[in-house]
Amino acid sequence: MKKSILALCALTMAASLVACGGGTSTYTIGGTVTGLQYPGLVLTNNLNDDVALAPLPLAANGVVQDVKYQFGKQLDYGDVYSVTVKTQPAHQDCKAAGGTADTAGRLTVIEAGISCSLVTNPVGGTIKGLAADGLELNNGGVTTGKIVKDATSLLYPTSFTLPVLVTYKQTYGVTILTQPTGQTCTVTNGAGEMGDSVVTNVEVNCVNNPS
Amino acid sequence: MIRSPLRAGIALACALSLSACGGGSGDVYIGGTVLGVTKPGLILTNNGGDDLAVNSSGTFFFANRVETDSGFNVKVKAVPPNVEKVEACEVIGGSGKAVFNITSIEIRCTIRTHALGGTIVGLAGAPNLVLVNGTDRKEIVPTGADPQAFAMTPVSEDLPYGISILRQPDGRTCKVEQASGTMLAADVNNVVVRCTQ
Repeated sequence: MKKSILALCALTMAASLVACGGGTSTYTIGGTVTGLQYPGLVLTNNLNDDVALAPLPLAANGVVQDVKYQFGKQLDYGDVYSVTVKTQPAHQDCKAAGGTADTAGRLTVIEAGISCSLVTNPVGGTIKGLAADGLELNNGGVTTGKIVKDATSLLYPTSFTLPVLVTYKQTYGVTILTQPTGQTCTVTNGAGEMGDSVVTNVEVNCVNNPS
Repeated sequence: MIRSPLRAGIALACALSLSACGGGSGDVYIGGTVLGVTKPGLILTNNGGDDLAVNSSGTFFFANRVETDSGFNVKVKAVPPNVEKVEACEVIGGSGKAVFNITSIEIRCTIRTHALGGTIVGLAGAPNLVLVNGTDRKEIVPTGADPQAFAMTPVSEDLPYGISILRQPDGRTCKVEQASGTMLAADVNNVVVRCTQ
């Protein structure tokens, strides 16, 4: 009799353990944000649970610190989670970096990664009076290459964009690397510090050389 | 009966000649990635031979494959003209035993740099002048000297540069002469920033 009760007891316990999945019935969704430097980031899980995150102070060696986060609502075993960026922080662009969507309980550790980088924008502007081939503009080591007449329209371009994007707060300075044949161009508004949007106000004015 | 030792001899000769020519009949590719190469001149060797010219950054593979389990040892034999010396192209993971295709060797070349600078004329002690060359930013602290020398961050050989004014000094307006060019094999010290009231 005693033996059979013990056996029954063990069986019940085993069954209850299986039913409750080894002890945990709810799951906390969270992870790590890398590269966060400015405030304003809001992450959302399943578009119904938000968490607002602020950057941590820089480490002693000047390195941007990772920010750990968790959502408030718990999920049940098998519930789907999907972590997305609801609001971008100032001056930065954050995106999913692995593990942001799955079903709760499938993985031993839920670690939804978000990586943030500073925004980058192109530098460009207008060209007036260009009437010859050969103009080459540069921003430091980045150049437009020789600007020539368009083969189809037979017109010279009236705008330009440098091919490499500039990161937020970095400087740019557009200069004339090569003058067009028989013309002299000058640059206005050539230098600046990159902000949050595309730079289009650099002006290049070209005039014919005196003959 | 006569042909059999002859065959063996031929096989032996073949094997010897193959090993002599660097194991070209092997199965294992030796290669990797080259960084910092902007012009021809880089020559790599494997096990002291099999010269390979790599003309630009990107992936490379030696023409001769090596036998499985044999050693490989990749070295830099010559560098492009804008790299100072053979040691300026660092080889990472260049030697080992070739068990399977090797694609992880890294050759990192550092291009020689030269000073970029010149003189500021007529600053007259005015503070807050800021010069830029692309993303390189230089705040000019007036020394009282006229002309006053200035230096930007050194620029890699063959790269263009262009100095412009991010911020004018207090109460003065400056213009840059000989502002742009391409960095050749010598320092550039002829940029003139001319300031007037």
